[in-house]
Amino acid sequence: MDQHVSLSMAVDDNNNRQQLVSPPVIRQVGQWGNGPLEFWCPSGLAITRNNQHLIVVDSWNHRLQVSILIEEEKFSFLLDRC
Amino acid sequence: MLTIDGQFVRSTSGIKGRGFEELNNPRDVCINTSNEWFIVSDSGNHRLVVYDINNFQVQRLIDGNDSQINLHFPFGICCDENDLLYVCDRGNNRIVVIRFNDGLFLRQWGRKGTQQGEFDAPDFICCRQNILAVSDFNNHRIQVFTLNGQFLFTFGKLGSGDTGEFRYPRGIAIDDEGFFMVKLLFVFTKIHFMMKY
Repeated sequence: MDQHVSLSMAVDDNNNRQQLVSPPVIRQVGQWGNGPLEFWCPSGLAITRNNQHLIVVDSWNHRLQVSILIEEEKFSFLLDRC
Repeated sequence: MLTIDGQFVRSTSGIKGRGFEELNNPRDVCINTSNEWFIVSDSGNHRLVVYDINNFQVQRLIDGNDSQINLHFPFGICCDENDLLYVCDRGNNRIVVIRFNDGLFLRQWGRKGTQQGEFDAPDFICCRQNILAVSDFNNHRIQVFTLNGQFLFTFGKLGSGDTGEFRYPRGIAIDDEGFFMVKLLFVFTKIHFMMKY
């Protein structure tokens, strides 16, 4: 099972159709484990309102992890929840 | 906008338990309006935990002392612009609204079922521009409400077709342009389902 946080481009076809898309992954972070930036069933995430930090709920490690965010380009986060 | 630079900052202890500083299968997190606190759904302990965003210390618990709150495996959680928390009370098949500042129970809606406003394991939730979207896990649909709980519409049904069908929706988000993005269980190919509202 994947245990990582991915960054995906949002795709907008400018209409109201429902669609399935597989946006390209910009970057992914994390792997299975219990060390820094390792996850066991990452379940939830939040971005602080000053856009400085990413908080990830590392469910089966019973903890929270925080990572730094930096300015770059438009993206959306996709968490491979279990 | 933003991206991860991959730099690890900090982590909580990772000790499983019921103590004040311990968690048991935490499931989701949201940030309060003032960006001073974050709130975690501590699912296995049937409570919410409020942390200080600056030092990661637990400030307080929001738990079953208020009998109306009485969460049972809380999952998704989000915070609106007025510091109201919307919690997917998964085990009780309802959405619970809690005022963040004092932990007061405000309102709830939902019960187990397949009709509008009913749930079978409400999983995750997001709020954006005065609407709430809830992934209704075992009903294979997304339900959309006003912040007061008034049903607006639903989309999704069980299936594997290209349009409007999916299985076991989990993560839900609404982007700046009003597209819904749904992450499905068992789909690890990072498929987004989108619909403009």
